Amino acid sequence: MNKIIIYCSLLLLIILYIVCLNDNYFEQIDEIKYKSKSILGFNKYENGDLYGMSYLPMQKEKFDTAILEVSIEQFPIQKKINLCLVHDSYLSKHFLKSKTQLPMVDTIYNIEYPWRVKNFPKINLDSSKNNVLIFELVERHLLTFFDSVTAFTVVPLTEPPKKAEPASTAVNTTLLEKITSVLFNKETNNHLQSIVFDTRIFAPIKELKAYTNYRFLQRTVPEVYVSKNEDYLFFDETKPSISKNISEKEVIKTVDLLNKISEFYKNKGFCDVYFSILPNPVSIISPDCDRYNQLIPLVQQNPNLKMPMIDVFDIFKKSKQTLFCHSDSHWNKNGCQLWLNECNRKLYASKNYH
Amino acid sequence: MIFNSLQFIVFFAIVVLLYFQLPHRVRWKLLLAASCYFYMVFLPVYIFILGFTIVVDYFIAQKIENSTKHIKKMLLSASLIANLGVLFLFKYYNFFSSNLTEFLQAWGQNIHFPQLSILLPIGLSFHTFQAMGYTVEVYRGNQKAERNFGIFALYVMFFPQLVAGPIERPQNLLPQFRIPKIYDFEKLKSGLLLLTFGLFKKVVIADRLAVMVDFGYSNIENLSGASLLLAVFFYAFQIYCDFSGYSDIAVGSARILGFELMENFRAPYFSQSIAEFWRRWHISLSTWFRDYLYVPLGGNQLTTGRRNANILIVFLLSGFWHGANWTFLVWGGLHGFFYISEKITQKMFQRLNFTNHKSVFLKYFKIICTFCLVTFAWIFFRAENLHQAFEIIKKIAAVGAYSGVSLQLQPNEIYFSLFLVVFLLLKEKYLPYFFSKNTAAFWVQWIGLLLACYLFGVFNQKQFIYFQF
Repeated sequence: MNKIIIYCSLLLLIILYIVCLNDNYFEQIDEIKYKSKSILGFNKYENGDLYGMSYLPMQKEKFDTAILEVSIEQFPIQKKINLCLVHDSYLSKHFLKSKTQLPMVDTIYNIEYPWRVKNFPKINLDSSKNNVLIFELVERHLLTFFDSVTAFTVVPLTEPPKKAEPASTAVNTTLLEKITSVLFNKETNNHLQSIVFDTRIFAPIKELKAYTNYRFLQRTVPEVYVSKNEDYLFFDETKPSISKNISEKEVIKTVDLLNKISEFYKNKGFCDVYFSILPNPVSIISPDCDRYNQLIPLVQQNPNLKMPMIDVFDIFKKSKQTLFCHSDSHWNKNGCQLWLNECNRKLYASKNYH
Repeated sequence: MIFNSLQFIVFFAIVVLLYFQLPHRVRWKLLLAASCYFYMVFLPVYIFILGFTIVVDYFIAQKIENSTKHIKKMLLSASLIANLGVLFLFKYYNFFSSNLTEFLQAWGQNIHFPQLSILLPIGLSFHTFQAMGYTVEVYRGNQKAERNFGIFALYVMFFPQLVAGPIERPQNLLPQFRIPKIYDFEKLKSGLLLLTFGLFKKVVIADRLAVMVDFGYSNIENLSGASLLLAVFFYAFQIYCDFSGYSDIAVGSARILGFELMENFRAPYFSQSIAEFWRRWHISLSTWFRDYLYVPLGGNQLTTGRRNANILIVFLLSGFWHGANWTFLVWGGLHGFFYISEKITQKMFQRLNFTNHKSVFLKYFKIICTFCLVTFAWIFFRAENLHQAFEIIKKIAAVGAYSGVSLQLQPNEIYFSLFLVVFLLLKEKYLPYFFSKNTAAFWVQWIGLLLACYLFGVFNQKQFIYFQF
C-alpha cells in the first residue's frame, strides 16, 4: 500500500513538474483550469482583476459584464459612420459586444492599443463613408503613453501593417538551446504556483493570508491598495491621482500632443477624431480623491486644446450611481453606460456626416 | 533554483521519493544529476566553471597521494592556483583592474585595464573553498584521494549545500556517500522541522526586515538617524535569518536524505565576545580559515605581535572572501581590530581580576556590547560603498537626529518585526531544538510553522544574501 502511494505521488509530482517546465503544456492546463468548475480549477479574475491580484475578500464581487443597451428613442439606428475605436482595456470585449450599443455606427474597427495587439488589424478607410476615429485612454496612462509609444502616431490606417516575423522562425535555435530553454525554464516556479495555488480549493487560504496581512499589518500586494473607507480596491498605478502634482509643462505637452494627433489623423481622411480620457476610479470616488490632482480637468479645460473630447469626468462626478467595480480596476456597466450615452450624444451632434 | 520557491519544494520531493526507491549503488548518481540540475537552473553555463574546479582537484589530489614531498607541494600549489585563479577571474579581476587603473591615473599614468563583463557564478566562493579544503586534506594525509570521479563531483556539488554552504570537510561528507541509507522517519521529522524553520526565518523574518533595510539604505539622505539606526539594527537580524535560514534548510534537507552536515550557526548574538561570536557565526568558514590559513601561518605558537598580524590578515581575507569591495575589507578589518583589542583588554581585565565576576548583569552587558560591535561592522557589510557607510554612521551619531522613525512599513509591521526578533532570540536561547521525537508534537510544530510561513511570509522571490558570495 505504501509503495503504491509513493509511486503515485512520485508520478504526480513528475507530471506536474514537466507540465510546468513547458510553456505550451502549462498554457493548455491553465486554460482547462480557467474553465473548470472543480476544486482544482479557478478563474481568479471572475471576481475582478484586483481581487485576482490581491485575493482581498472584503470587496469581492462578481465582475458583471451584461450586455448594455441604449435607448432607441434617443439614439435611432442610422448606421452612418465607420468607427475606428482605438482603446485601452475599458472598452475591451467585456463591454463592447454589440453594434447596437453605437446605433450611428455601421462598421466598428475595434483596436486595442498596439502594445496589447498581436496582429494589428487591417483598416481600409472607405471614402464613401464617414470615418470617425475615437481614442480612449485611461487616465493613468495619459502622461506617459505618448512618450513611450511615439510610433503609434504613424500606424498605417489605410494599409495593412506588415506583420512581424514570429520570434521562433526568425531565430534559428539549435536542439540543445531548445532543450535547455525547456529544462531550465525561468517561468517554472510561476507556473507551479499558478497550478497549485490559484485553485478554488486554495482560494480561501489565500484570502485568509491577504486578509490577515491587510488587517494586522496593513500590507497588500504592491499592485493593489484599499480605499480609505475599504469599499474599493484600487490599482496602485492610479495612486499618482492623489499623490502627484501636475506641472503646467506636463499639461501643455499633453495638450500639444493631442492636437498633433488630431491633425495627423484628420489628414489621413477621418471626418472626426475624438479623444476620451477615462478617469481613474480613485479620481471619482470619495473620500480618496480629496487630494485629486485635477489632471483630467486641467487637460480638458485647457484653452489650447483643439481635439474634441468625449468628456465623462463631470458626468461621472455628478452621478449618484456606482460606476466602478469594487474589486476590479474597470468601470461597471453603469460607468460604461454613461460613456456610451455621451459618445452617442457626440456622434449624433456632429454636423460633419453626410 | 532558490530554496524559498515552490519549484525547490517539488524538485526536492521528487528527489527524496526517488532516492529511497533506488538501490544504494545508484543513489549517488541520482544526487549528482539532481545537483547538476539544481545548479544549472541558475544559469546552465556555470556548470563548466564548477566542472573545471572538480576535474582539476580530482586529478591533482590523486597525484598528490602518490608523490614525493617536493612534488606534492608543487601539485598543491598548482591546485590552489587553479582554484584561486578561477575565483580571481570571476570575482576579483574587475575590482583589481578598476582600482589599479584609478591608482595609476592618480599618479599621472594613463593606463586603462579593461573590465570583464562576466557574471559571478552563484556560490563560487563556497564550492571553491570546499574543493580546496579537500586538496589540502589529501596533501596533509588526513584524507584519501577519492577514486570515484562521480562521488568526488558530488562532494563538491551536493545540492543542499552547493551555493551557500556549510563548507563541508571531506572527512565528514565523503564517507557518507558510501554508507547505505535507509529511510528513517525520525530523521525525516527532524529534517523537515529544521527545513521549515529555516524557511520561516527566511520568508517571515529576513524578507520582511529586508523591506525596511532596503528602504533605509536607499534613502539615507531623507531619513532620520533613528530610522537608520533601526534599519542597521534590523539588518543584523535580516542577515542572520537569511543566512542561518539557508543553512537550516541545507542541513534539514540533507538530513531528510540521511546526511549530516556540520552546524553553521550557534545563536551568535548571545556571544559575550567577538572571539565567541566567530565560534558561533558561519562556523564552517571560520574553522576553514583557522585550519587552512591561520594555523599554517603559525597559529598560536608565535609572538604576540606576529599572532595579531596573522589574525588581522585572516579577518581581512575573510572580509575579502565575501566580495570584491572595500566595504568587505573594512568589515573584516574591523572584526580583526575588535578581536585583537579584545585579547589585549582581556589580559588587562585578568590582571584586575575582573573576568571572574559571574554577575548576570555583566554577562548581558557583554552580550549587548558584542552585539553593538558586530552590528556596527554590519553597516560596512551592507553598504554599497564606504561613502554610504560613513554617511549612515554620521547620521546615526548626529546630535538631534532622533526625530522619528519612518521605514516605509506601517507601525504594526515594525512592531511585528520586533516581535519576531524577540521570538527568535527567545527560541534560540531557551528552545534551541525542536521536539521531533513525539510524532504528535512534530505535526503540531510542523503545521504551525508551515501556516506561519504561508500566512506571514513575504514571497518576493528574494535570493539569499550569501548566494552572491
